[in-house]
Amino acid sequence: MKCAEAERKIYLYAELDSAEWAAVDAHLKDCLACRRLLADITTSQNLLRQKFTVDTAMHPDLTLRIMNALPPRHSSLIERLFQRPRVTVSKLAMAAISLLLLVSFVMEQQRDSAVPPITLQASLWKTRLDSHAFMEIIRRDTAKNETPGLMECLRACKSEARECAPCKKRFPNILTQL
Amino acid sequence: MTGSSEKEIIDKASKGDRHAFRHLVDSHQRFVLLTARRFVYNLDDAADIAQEVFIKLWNNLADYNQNMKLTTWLYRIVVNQCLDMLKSKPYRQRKAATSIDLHQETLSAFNTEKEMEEREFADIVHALCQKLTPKQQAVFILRDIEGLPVEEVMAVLSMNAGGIKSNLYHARKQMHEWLKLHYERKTQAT
Repeated sequence: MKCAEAERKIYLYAELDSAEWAAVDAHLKDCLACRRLLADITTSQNLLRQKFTVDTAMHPDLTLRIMNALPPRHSSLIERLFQRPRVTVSKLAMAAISLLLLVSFVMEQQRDSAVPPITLQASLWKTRLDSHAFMEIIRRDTAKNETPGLMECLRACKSEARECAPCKKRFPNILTQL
Repeated sequence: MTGSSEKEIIDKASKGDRHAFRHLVDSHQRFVLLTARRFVYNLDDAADIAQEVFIKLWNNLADYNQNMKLTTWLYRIVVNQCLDMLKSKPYRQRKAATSIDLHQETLSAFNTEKEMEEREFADIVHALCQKLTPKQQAVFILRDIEGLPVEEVMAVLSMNAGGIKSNLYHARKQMHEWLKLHYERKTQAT
């Protein structure tokens, strides 16, 4: 080993592994300059450890200062999710009343909209449609002359509030619709 | 807190128990303050660093890996905080403006020659430390001044063995040469 190589290992003498130690020691046996360097470095290091002391005075009220400077602890999202909710009875009652009011309002809205005018219109339209159909059948039958006297029979049924078999067959529920 | 193990105290403090955290502050503030003073020397600056260190500890205690020693973790926070302060512009400006006054003021405050010599030596070493790079300074202080084992220095600085040895070699070599030069000049002067 040459001195240049040994020098680095002498500065790191305490950190060498056993193989490196043996190699450096072998060099030191034959090299006075490197032995002096090792002695100087060891002296410097001892001096530093012993004399590079800092004043051990403590800062007054440091604990208090640190404790006062601590920010409030923010819990993590998971902790907050599993935290016991701080709900009071009054808050629960308010929530229940609000929910009740909301439900009744929605139900009221649905009840009003359940009887729309369009249903009446549809009913009228159905009656008219049936009447038209009825008249159409009369006209057709009359034209074909298939059911002579049908009108007379129907008028009689209507006036007597009955449904005879032929009328009932051809115009089911015609009396109630008319 | 008497009778509680450090693990129990840390558990309580990590859940927001201020009383438990105060116990941690009481038991570790001296160590934090002295380590900070190796870097920044001035007591007020070291106290500022200690305050920041404990605030970080408070904020991050829930993430603390209990496989690592608390002191190792504290060393890591202290060193990072110190290096941040040393690199900050306000600190460097303040340091340049006040170092001479402080030196003279502190020297006059000692009674015995031995105390004065020790303080002078500490001032010189501290001034020489400032000439090292931040990494060299951190490795040198932790290994040669604080006397931590290499493995702990690696853990504190998150550095591999090669990095530690390289920084340590350069720091020791420079420090040794500066000290040698200083004492040679002093000998010549006397």
